[in-house]
Amino acid sequence: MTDIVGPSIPAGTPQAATARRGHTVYLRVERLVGLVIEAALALAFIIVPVASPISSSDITSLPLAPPSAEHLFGTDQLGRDIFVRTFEAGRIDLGLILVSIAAAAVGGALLGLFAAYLPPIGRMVISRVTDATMAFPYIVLVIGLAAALGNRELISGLPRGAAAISIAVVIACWPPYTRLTLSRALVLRERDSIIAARVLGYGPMRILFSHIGPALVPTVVSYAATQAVATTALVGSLAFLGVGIAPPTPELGQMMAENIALLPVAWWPSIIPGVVVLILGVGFALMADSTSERNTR
Amino acid sequence: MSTAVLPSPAGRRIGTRASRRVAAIGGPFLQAIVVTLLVMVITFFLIRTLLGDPAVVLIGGNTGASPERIAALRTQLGLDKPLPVQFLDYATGLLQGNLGNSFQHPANTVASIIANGAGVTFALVGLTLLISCLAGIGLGLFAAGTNWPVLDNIIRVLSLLGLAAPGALVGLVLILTAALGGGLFPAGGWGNGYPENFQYLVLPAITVSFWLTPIILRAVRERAGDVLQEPFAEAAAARGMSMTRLILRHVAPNCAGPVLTIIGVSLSYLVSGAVIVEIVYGLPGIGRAMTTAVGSLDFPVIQGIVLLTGAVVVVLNMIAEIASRIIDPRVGR
Amino acid sequence: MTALLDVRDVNVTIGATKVLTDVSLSLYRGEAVGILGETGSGKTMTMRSIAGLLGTVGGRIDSGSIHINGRDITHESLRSRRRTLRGVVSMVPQGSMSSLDPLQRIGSQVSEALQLTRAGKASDADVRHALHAVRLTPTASLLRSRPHELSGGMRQRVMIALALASQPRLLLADEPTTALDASVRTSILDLFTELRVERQLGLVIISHDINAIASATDRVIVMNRGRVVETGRTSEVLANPQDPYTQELISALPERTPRGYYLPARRSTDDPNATANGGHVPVPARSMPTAGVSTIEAQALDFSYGDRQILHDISVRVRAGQRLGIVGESGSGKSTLARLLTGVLPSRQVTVNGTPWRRFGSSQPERHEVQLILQDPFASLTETQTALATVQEACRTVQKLARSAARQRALELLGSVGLSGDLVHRRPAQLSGGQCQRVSIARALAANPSILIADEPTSALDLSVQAGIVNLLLTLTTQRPLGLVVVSHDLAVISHLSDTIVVMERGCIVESGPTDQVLFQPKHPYTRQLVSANPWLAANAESNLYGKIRPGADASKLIEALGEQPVMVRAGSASDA
Repeated sequence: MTDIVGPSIPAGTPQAATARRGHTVYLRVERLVGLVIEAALALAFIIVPVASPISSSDITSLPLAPPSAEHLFGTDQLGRDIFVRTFEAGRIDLGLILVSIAAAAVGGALLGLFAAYLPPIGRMVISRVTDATMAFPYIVLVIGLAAALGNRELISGLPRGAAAISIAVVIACWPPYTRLTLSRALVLRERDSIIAARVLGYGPMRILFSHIGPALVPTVVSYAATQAVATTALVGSLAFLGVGIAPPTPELGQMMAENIALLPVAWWPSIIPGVVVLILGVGFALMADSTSERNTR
Repeated sequence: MSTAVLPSPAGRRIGTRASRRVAAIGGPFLQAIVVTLLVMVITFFLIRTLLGDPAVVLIGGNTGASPERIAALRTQLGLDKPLPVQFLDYATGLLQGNLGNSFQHPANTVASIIANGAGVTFALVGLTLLISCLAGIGLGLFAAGTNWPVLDNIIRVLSLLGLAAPGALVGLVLILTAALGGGLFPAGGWGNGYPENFQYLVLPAITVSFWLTPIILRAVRERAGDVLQEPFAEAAAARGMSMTRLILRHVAPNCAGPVLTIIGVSLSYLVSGAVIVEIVYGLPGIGRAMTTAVGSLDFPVIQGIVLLTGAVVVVLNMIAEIASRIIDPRVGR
Repeated sequence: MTALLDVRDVNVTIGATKVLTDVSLSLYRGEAVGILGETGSGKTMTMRSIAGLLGTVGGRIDSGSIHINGRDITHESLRSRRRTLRGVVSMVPQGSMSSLDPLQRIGSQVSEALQLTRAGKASDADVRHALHAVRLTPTASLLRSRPHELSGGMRQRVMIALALASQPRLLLADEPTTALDASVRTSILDLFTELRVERQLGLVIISHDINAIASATDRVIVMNRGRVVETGRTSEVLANPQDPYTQELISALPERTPRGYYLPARRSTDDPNATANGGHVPVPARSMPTAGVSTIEAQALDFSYGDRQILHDISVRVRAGQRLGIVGESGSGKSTLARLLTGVLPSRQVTVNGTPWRRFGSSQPERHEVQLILQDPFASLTETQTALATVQEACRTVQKLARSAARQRALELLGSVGLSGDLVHRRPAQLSGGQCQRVSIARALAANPSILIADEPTSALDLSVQAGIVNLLLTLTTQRPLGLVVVSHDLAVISHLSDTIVVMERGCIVESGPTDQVLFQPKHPYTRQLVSANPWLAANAESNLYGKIRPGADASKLIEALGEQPVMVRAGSASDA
């Protein structure tokens, strides 16, 4: 703590607060839009495949039928209904992203929090391991794991390939959270409120989990949403490398990859899944933008 | 990544300018060495525990290979020794500058297999960085300085879309429109020699930039907005400094730190993105070598590729760190 | 002669909120006008309207007009202002670390500012000349240094040099004395006055600091809630305020109330049950401490950060029931001393009840005996906890109370610091600075401490809010046998909250003794300088009023004694209210 005396500037004049409030309302709307996009898509992903009379693998029509009243999104080159396939595919993509990012975020953030209370040596070890993992090209991991685990059904009920992608995403995504929480926690640890808490004799666990941790939640959530954007795009790209989720389970990236060559003939089989991936990503991005830490004092 | 322990007391920093500069460069350099070593160790054990048995794959999977033959191959490849011994062998090799030989083609050294590919991939990474920095910083500063909020918002929405678009899809759409449709650039392939090869790199680099530019742009836009509201900027504006001058002379340098940080964090994702895109465009980069190597569990090649890309990421990160310490002497004390 | 600056009936809104209502002011060349107001008074918005900086906060002028130098600039865009007002208006921003471009060297910032209004490049000599003008010695090392390497006073001077570089006729100064030590403050204000006279500048000083306004302006405009409530010659307004708000504001100055009396605090929402308002502080029935009273003591304490020694041979002792003031300017080491006494920083030379503090963070039975109140009211609280949760947690963990008992106790404590009703369920962001500081105090009291250490407890607060906190601390120390150590740069605040004073300079104690003696018969030159930097305190010291009146003296006698001084009468009569 510096020794600066003198009246520090009274924080946040009401004028500034008013300006901030206008901004905050705008951000709140944005966050709401992002949430609504994700929630609506999630609901559709769950309901459409269940409610639909045809299944994703049924060949119900001529191949490459354009969008019509009967097939809202048209059919693919085998004559399968793209509407049903898109929503069933989305369920896997969204589920995969949410679960893996959540695991990476929680794990990484907890590690960072603990590291903040380790002696400097321990902190340094964790920092360097974090750096090393961040330097690791995760695509090698994804391809390698997909090759190693791709043929096995690790968890029954999950399509083949999903587990490999999840594990790779978790391994690739945890380090930034550790880094973020560690550096923020180190700053917060010197904050007046923490000094006051320590003067009261609070234990380190209490300080970590009820005084430092909660303050980091917005930052972590914001970063998780940012990462969800990148991961959505990544999972959508993997199928192009032939390492995504194995057919016959529909997956958005795989639908794009299968049909991209037909683009000059029929745009709908590849562009529609692509647009869904894009909307998912935009929804996350809106949430990321509006949840940043600057909104909280 | 601060490891500050004691809060620094008020007042000036201790030490001469020269000693500070040494500290600014020395710290990141030592860190880089440690991190590269860690990458090596982690890769070694991760590959050997997570992936399968190369002997089985090399002999041809389950198609009637006798256990004896597999065991013999394992011995030949040195896979029968305990892991720590294997690691020591590998580490001694590395110290002599030897990345080992491929499992699949024992006559070829790993270095020879990945050298060509690495050149292509890092050229792609470099060009992407160039495009993204120019576009991201330029557009970010423009968005912050423009008088029309509409333009700012348009740039923001476009950057959101760029961020959310899957790289492979962007790549294919570009191939179909710019290459096949418009005939501007070749849709893929590779020539011999450099001035010619640039044309093959342009579309892939633009594709990866679709993702990296928004990341840089958003960092610049956010920081520039903050700087413009800082008292010194407002005072400069109030006494009549032009917006252009304010942005170029004061805002841009103050954005350098956050831009370097965000690039540092994104580097390994950038390399991975480049690998995806070069596969889509059929460039002879390390992506191709890697997929083959992973497919056949060619451990030395995988290890070599990871070590190389990891080291490049670490070095670039180190440069970013040193640069931001030199630009802003308050960082890292 | 037309006015240099003429603001007429300006109304400003931000979004749907009206921030300025019918604000008018005018200024002629060579004249200095002060805009005085507290947080949220609209003084900053007034300045932004004049400087053309409303747009960045989303504000707009609804009606009224602003003329500078006869030119209507009410709705002129910042872009066109750059052409028309370059060399006419300049602004000195509020002092902080980002008041100068943190990355650029001082020399290049000054030369850039000089080039704004010149055709050619500014020569080295011009740069030196510009720095000379603000009484800085333009050494090569100063030109090459960056802002973070300068002291606050030097930064302030460089900021003024930048503002003057374009040879403006109108200079706007935003809180030019905040974050500066009293001695530096005086010299900066003197510099403003000199420059104004030399260059026939029109000067607008925006400040919450009554003393700054008093010493550097001819006329003053007092603002409250976006309106001008009073305007007139500075000396007249301050000596004889007409508007009730101005009266309240001026009487809240701690140096205007004699020691031993409660400060006249505003009965505002900030302080719902203002317990004490004027009137003298009852002398506590302090049973003379015998054995077994909690004591913290520093004996021959030296302390260093790395190889920099912060404290030299400090010896102080505080017991429960005693009140000690530690006064000093920045860099005196007083905050470090506060932290050492609290055990936040470790030292073998500091003992609590005879035992040295253990490493900070490890448990120790004496831990709860000494509690700390810090300067920044918002940063002192955990932002995710409500006031009640904060205090309740302290009751539960320190006193090991059950949930319902802790809640009961927390509500009592919050009530005793003046927070009740809906306020206790709010988070820091929804509370005012003064309310946050009250929560901090309640949280410290939850540990049932014997000694409370307050590090600049009121420096971040508005004047009227400060009065409330001073009164609260006065009440607390009289109602219970609580020891109090107040660390502050503000002698006036210290004078109310201490029986003994320790004056620190550069890590050493230069003078110590009973408060009256140190304040009114200062021996050390440094103490004299501190006392004289505060005009009212000094005036009182000369007449030695405090020497005559002891706490508990008859209030009517007090008014009699203060008879000649109208301002003091106000302070005295408030005690009757």
